[in-house]
Amino acid sequence: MIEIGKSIVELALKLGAEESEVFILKGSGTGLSIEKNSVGYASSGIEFGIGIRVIKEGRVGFAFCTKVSNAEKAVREALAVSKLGRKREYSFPEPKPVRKIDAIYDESILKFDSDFGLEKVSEIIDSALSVNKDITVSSGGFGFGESSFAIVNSKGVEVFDRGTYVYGSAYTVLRNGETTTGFEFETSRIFNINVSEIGRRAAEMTMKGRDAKNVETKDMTVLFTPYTLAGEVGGLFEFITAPAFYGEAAHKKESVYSGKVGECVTSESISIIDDGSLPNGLNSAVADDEGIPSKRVEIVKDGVLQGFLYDTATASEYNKESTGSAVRCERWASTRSFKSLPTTRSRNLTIEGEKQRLDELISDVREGVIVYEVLGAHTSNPASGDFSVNSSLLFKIENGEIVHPIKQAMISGNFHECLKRISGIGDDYKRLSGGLSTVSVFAPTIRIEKVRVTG
Amino acid sequence: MEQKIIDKCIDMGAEYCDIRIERKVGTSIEVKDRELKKAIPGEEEGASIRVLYKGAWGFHSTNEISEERLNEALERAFKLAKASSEKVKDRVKLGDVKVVSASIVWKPKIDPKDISIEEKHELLADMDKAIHEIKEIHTVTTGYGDSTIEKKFFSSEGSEISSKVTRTFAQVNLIAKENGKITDFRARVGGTSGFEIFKIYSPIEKGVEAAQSAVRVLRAKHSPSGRFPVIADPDLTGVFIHEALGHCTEADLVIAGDSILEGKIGERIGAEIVTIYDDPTIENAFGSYPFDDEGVRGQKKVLVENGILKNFIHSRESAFKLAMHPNGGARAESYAVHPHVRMSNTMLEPGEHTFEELVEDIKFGVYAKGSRGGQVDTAKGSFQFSALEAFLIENGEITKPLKDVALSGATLEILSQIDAIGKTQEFGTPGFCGKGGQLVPVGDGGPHIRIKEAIVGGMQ
Repeated sequence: MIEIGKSIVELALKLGAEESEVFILKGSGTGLSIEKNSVGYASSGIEFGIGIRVIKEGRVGFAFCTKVSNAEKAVREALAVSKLGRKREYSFPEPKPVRKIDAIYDESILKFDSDFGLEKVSEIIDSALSVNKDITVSSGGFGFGESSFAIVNSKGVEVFDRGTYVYGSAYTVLRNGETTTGFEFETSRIFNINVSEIGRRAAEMTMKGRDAKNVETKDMTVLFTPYTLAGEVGGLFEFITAPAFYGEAAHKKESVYSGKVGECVTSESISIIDDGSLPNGLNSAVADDEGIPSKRVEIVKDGVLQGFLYDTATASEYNKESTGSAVRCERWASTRSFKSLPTTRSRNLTIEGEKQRLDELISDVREGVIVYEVLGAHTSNPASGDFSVNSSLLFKIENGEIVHPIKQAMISGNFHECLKRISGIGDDYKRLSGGLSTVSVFAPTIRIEKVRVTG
Repeated sequence: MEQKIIDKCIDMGAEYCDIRIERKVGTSIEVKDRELKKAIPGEEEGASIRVLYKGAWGFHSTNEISEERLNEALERAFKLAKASSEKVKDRVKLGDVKVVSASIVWKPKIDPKDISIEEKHELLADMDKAIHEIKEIHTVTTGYGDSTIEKKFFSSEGSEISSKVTRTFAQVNLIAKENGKITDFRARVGGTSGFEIFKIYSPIEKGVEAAQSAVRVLRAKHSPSGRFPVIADPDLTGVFIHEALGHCTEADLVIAGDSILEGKIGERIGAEIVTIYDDPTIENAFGSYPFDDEGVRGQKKVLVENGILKNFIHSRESAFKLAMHPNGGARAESYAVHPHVRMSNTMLEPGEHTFEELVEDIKFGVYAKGSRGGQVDTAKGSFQFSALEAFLIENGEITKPLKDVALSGATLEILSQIDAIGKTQEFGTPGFCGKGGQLVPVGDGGPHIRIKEAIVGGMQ
């Protein structure tokens, strides 16, 4: 891949570019979906693409193609389009040494085939049904794949990395007088997931939802489980918190954290870190999408804002260093793409602090709720942080114990303010992929005081 | 070439197979605060094959269109289907459809291919300029996108369909600030059409309107929370119908036990004045298409008629399973993924009231406009969606501006709570609907509606 990249970089220089950069992405994946207690679709696919950036007369142009034989055409398009850009003092980055990342490439996954996948699907379904035979695993699945990428630029950057992934999920329903649902999923870069746990936990959540009651409208303690922080249609951490840390938004005064470096912006009991080098991190790789080595970035330390995240373009604009936060993706896309320009994105966003066991976290709550799923995180106002989400998978806590499931409630507030009222975090860390962004969140349950719950 | 591969597949023992080939050409441009952020011409292509073997599906996609790759795809898809067939519990059968030979081109009146990238950039620059004239506007990000997708569909039943469809849109995301308060706002115009759509819906006008609304929201009070009457504008009505009802009528969810509407065809699920349909044949609407990705002609489906649930949106297999007729509802985001049951343009039929008549009966309630989107739990039939801006209604009059109004409720209750519907149907904002990790362009809309009681979540 590096060789292909080098030849295209040279071609671009020959055709008139002053600098050039080539990003090549290759991948394949297989998924076995679950539909109503049985296998649904067995699908697989292959992807390959090349994204080419050129700098000519100080202006950047970009184009993409899906075949090496179309690279020349793409280079010419990129050069033509560069005329529209603004002349800038921007240059592609210099090469820097990268370090291998742990637990992101598992060779055993390369040997998985459809029979193995189907076995896992059966395990998920059987373990759910063993909790209660009337449960339906309505959807879910098991999937796995691998991808590799290369970045080559005219300054000498030559980065290559590869990784694997595997996931399992189950969404369960029980209609028995009342309708209750449950779910569980696990995503990992290496095969260390236990699929029968997935089925079992989803089914147990479904069972725990029976005899749901209403709740009165008031402010109370809310335990946001990791599932609410990132997910299928976006989560609170992913949609509201992460973008507020992006350098461009911060410098252009579009973020509530603009101008607040050095100030206390969250509870002092926590730190917020973005780490592209996190072992088994869903977005971990030796480097970001521009070839900048991945590293651990402390965004908030003990409540105090340390700085923001940058890619090379925004770093150069605001006189900072790139934090290795460049990801090639479209605005609301949940997967990376060779068709996109690099932009700043949190890679593996995590929260650290003094951890407590979940039952300990619950035992200190006089009155509150623990929430497993939220609808509408993506309809929040990301600029202000105001949110109002609906949940029908939540439980009432009274005097330190979970007393009953709640039928439905709306939970609202300002999430940036909520982070200031974090009174504890759990030890139930979960790896989550983003639903409306490429951001991955690695977080435990977060307990927040005084949140409006509307019944 | 495709016919050879299909014949081979049937010889191998498959009962059905289809091949989809796609070529997409488009342009994507983004301008932020007068600066061009990106101008990306793009071309992609790929092919995929679906194989049905002993009632089990196998699917493989590749991004190289060649006989070699298609043969490889066939081997892989067949292997997946065969392996699956040993485990599948409900064997898939496909509902009958006509064998079709067709070539459809939905020719745009002003083809985006004939508009230079400089001109497209200028459109965004003009939007940016006009919006920035409003002083409270802090950041403006405008985007333009067009795509022309050529699809070819071949099935083992003998269908051969080619189509060429163009979509064009322009959008704005802006941030307004004043006195320490900050809010974002958004708007989009577009359609299954060429540049001519901008003559019907002006991006500059829409952008300026969005900016004016954003300023109102900055100065607005937080919405009260609780249960009260709500009037939704056509934009929000569209999202509401899509989330609260539309997804629950997707037959694949019904069959999987994942829809509250299971077994309810023929039952009353809403007020008598409520009629909802899904229609991919509406000219220029963002969710329109000539044929779905199973080679079935796109057609109008009345989902709810006078409050009675009449139909679901179907794929061929869901139609067979529920002993209903296939109605062309199977869509895939691209060749790279297999089709699911999806909506197209989901609309509420107009009623008889004027807007004033809807408002005058409300003592204390909310008038909610525009949408940030929504989400639904189809199994439980609970949904949530948020408005972009809102107003308080007090004693039959629209009074104070409100902000961050979110509504939620239960599908089976809310449709019965619609007690009045406006006379004029309008399209809502063109959007993209996500399901199963796939995004497809959709349209929606309706008239103004009055909901007797909804759960409104605010911060007061």
